[in-house]
Amino acid sequence: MKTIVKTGKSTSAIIAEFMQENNVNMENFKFEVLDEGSKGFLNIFAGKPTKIKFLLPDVEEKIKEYTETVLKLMNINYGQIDIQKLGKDTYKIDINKVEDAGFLIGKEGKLLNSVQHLLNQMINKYEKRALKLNFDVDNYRDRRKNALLDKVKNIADKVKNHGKSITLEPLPASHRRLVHQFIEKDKQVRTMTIGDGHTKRIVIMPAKNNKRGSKPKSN
Amino acid sequence: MKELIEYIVKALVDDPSSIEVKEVAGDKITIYELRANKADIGKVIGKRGRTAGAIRTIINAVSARQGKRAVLEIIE
Repeated sequence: MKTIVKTGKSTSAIIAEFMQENNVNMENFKFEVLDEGSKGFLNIFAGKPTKIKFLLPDVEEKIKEYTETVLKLMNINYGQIDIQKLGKDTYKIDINKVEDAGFLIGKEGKLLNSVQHLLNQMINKYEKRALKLNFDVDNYRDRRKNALLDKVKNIADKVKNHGKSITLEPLPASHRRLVHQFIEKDKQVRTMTIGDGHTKRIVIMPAKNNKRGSKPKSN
Repeated sequence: MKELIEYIVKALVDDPSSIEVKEVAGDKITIYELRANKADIGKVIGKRGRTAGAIRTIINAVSARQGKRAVLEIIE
């Protein structure tokens, strides 16, 4: 819980001001009147201001609330929501034991990415700063990443054995990045990208072949 | 479904009270008409329509599971 103390003329005025400043509805916070204050007497004595303490849910609680509600409204049955802080502004949300995980993931993670995008937008609006939420179902993203890298490793071995370059199928930018980073560690092979947009592919080639290919740039 | 759209959209905009979702049920297709404050339309649509696209993906998936089809229309 995040607490904020505000003072002002009257209880309702402070609450209205607070709601506008923080962009929240009545149901989103709790408050406690610390000091009711007084109007003063015939303007002789100065009035005492009203003091109210507000309780706002903190980031993790809010992430959980958004995730729970969205999943509930989507009619998804699951075990539990696991929220982990990965970095300063990065959180990982993993949903355990989803009844129909394939549905929530969608074709190539399409539904998963859509829910992730919306949760990100919602929390950024609430927090008024950019947070990064990684939304995952039963560690699907990690499993996909490992499967991709296993495949790439096999292909890289083939390239090394045959000395011929192999072109991968088109991959989204985030996956291409993983492949480039992975291949970079291996001195015997190199990567190159061909194509544009949705048909952008990575070519894995033997390192010695590439020396010719990359040189002309300097001329 | 209507609640889902309302819940998500209200969390995205500056003026949640102006959000209105109308459900128009057709024979095969249900149309959800989303009305928002003019100033908030951009937030609902998102960069290159990404947010609107994400909402559509979700309502399409949820309706398809119930054997229905849904369309989201964003109206100023």
